[in-house]
Formats: sequence, C-alpha cells, structure tokens
Amino acid sequence: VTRLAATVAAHGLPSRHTPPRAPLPDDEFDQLLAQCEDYRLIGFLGFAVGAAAWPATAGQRHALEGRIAAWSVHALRAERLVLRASALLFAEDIRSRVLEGVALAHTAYAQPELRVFADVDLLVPGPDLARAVAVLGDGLGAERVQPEPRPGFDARVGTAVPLRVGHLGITLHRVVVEDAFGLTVQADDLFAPPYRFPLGGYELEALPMPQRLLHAASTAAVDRPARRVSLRDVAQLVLREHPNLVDVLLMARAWRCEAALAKAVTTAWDALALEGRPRIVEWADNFAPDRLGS
Amino acid sequence: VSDGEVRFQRAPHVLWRSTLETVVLLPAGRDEPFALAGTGPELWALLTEARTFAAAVALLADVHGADPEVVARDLEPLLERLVEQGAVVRG
Repeated sequence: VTRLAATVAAHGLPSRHTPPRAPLPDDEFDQLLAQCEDYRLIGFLGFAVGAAAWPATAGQRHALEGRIAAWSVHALRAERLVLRASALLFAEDIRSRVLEGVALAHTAYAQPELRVFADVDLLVPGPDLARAVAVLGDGLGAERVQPEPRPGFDARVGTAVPLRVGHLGITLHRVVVEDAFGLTVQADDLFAPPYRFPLGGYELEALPMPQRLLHAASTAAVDRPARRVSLRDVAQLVLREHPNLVDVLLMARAWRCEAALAKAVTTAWDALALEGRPRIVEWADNFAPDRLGS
Repeated sequence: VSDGEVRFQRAPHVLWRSTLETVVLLPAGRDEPFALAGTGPELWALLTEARTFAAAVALLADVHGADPEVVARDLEPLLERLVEQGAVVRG
C-alpha cells in the first residue's frame, strides 16, 4: 500500500509509478484510502479516479467521494478561518503570510482540490507574534493549545504558537520551520514582496519564490518519515514554477538550508519515481555538505 | 428566478470545492457548508458568468439533449436555493 500511496502522490507528474490495471481488492483499497487521508493525498486519489486513471469499483468510488466531501467541508471552514484571521491582523497593522497547505493548494496546484490540508498556518513578524495571538484571541476566540512558558517567551524565543478556534487549528509562526533551520532564515526575506493569490473574492499573500520552495523543502526534510504530500509539494513547485536555480541556491545558502533542500529534492524524485532531471535535481544529487553542515 | 432578463452569477465571496460528484459551497454569512449534487455542479460551472435562467436551461438542455421544460423544472428550485443561501446573486 505504501508504494500505491507513492503512486497516488505522483498522479499527474511524469512518473515511473503506474496505477493498478484493475480495481484493488476492497480491503486493500480501504487501507490505501486511510493512508491517503493520513498523508493528505486524498485529493490526488480523487483526481486519479475521476479521470479514470485509477480503476475503482462503484463502492470504492462511493467511499472515496464520502471522504473527499468531508475534507472539502473542512477545507472551506479552514479557508474561512484564514480570511477572518488575515483580516483581523491586517486591521491591526500586523503583516502576515499564508503558509503551507492553504497557500500551496491555491498557488502551486492547478486546482485547490488536489491539495488537502488540516490546519491553518500564518507567518507573522517575530516582534508582532504575541500581539497577533492576542488579536486572534479577541477577534476569533482563539485559544492557545499550550500556555506560554513564561511571560515574554513568544516575543523573544518562541517560534510558533498553536491555537485552536473551535475544532480548527491555526498556528502563528515567526519562522518558517520549527527547528535549527528556522534560526538562520532572514526575516527580511520572509516579508519580501509576496505572491498574491485569490481566495473567496479576496486577495491573500503567500511567500514568493524561492522562499516558498525553501519552506516546502525544509518541511519535507524535517518530516520524518517525509509525508508524501510534502515531497509532492517540492516536486510540484519545481516542475510547475520552474524556479530560477541561482536564486534558489543563493537564498538556500543564506538560510543555511542547502542540505535540507538537497535532501527534499532527492527524496521527492526517488519516492515519486519522477522522470526527467531538472537542474535542481542534478545539483541536489551532487550536493555535499560543507563542514558547517549547511 | 425564471422571470425575464434577470441574470444570475456566483456571489463574489463564496468559498467552494468540487468533489467527484458534488460541489460544496460556503457563502459569506453562512456558518455551515452545503453540497449541490445532481445538476448542481453543472449549474455552478455555468454561473462563472452572468446568465439568465433561460440561457442556463438552454445550455444544459443542449448538453444533455434533454427537453428544456424538464431541465427548467429541475433547475428552478436549485437556483432559488442558491440565491436564498447567498451563493448566487442577481447580476
């Protein structure tokens, strides 16, 4: 089933993975469906079945439709939350950028239905993090998942604050990954002129390239084992947006995340069995960390 | 909704998703999403631009080779519901 999930993750990309020729036995399909939900791949499976590229029985299609409908409802609630949170932050002069699933669904993929997501992630400037938490607490009733370890922690050293709004999760980030990589990211790069995308008749702001690729790569690299969707995000950004290699490598060096980038790219190409070798893949294959481990 | 020259189109702030069989909608001002099945997804696709009810009926009847009167009977309550829920506006 794991290999089948990789095949689902590669749907629509030039891959050596091939779907089964006949519908899977129901128990195997059920396992695949569960794995696709865990790995956030159910949108790809839906498109593959919808395009008759993945054979399925009527019962399997019905089960898939039910799960996709549930994820769709969740996505709309999450998107409503993004719009409300962004408006509240904007009203308080707090800059924000939409990160991860919501941003990727609307910027990297031809149709947002392909890329499902569970939670909402927003980037805010570090000095505004504590105020942003308060703004969303007042405006949305957002509650912290964990109390602040001590007063002033968020403003000085916190990297992210997970919040709950009802059943939805929203995390405010001050860096784009929550590990050592995040410590070297240049704050000015994060709030460089954004990539704007439409959502529900409004315009939201995401990271531009190459920041969006580096963020996706860092997420994939620290995800152990890397979730297939994180690897797909990396491949999708490379193949759809054709980022300028020099721009990517200069910023990766400045952020000291070249190793993460190389690992994410090589893992994505291997796991998804992708054909073709864009220059960034050649670079990643030949990458050797320097003595500082960058 | 079937009167004269009034045009209908998607409301500007609706969030939506397609599934294999339906369209799930969350219009501004509503708390809970709802789904359109049957001919709903096709009607929703047509309403990316402003159309009269008669034009929408004619298009769908042509696509399906169906009697326009039958299509109109199917579409009218659907469009009324979409307007009522704030997903479609008179353009």
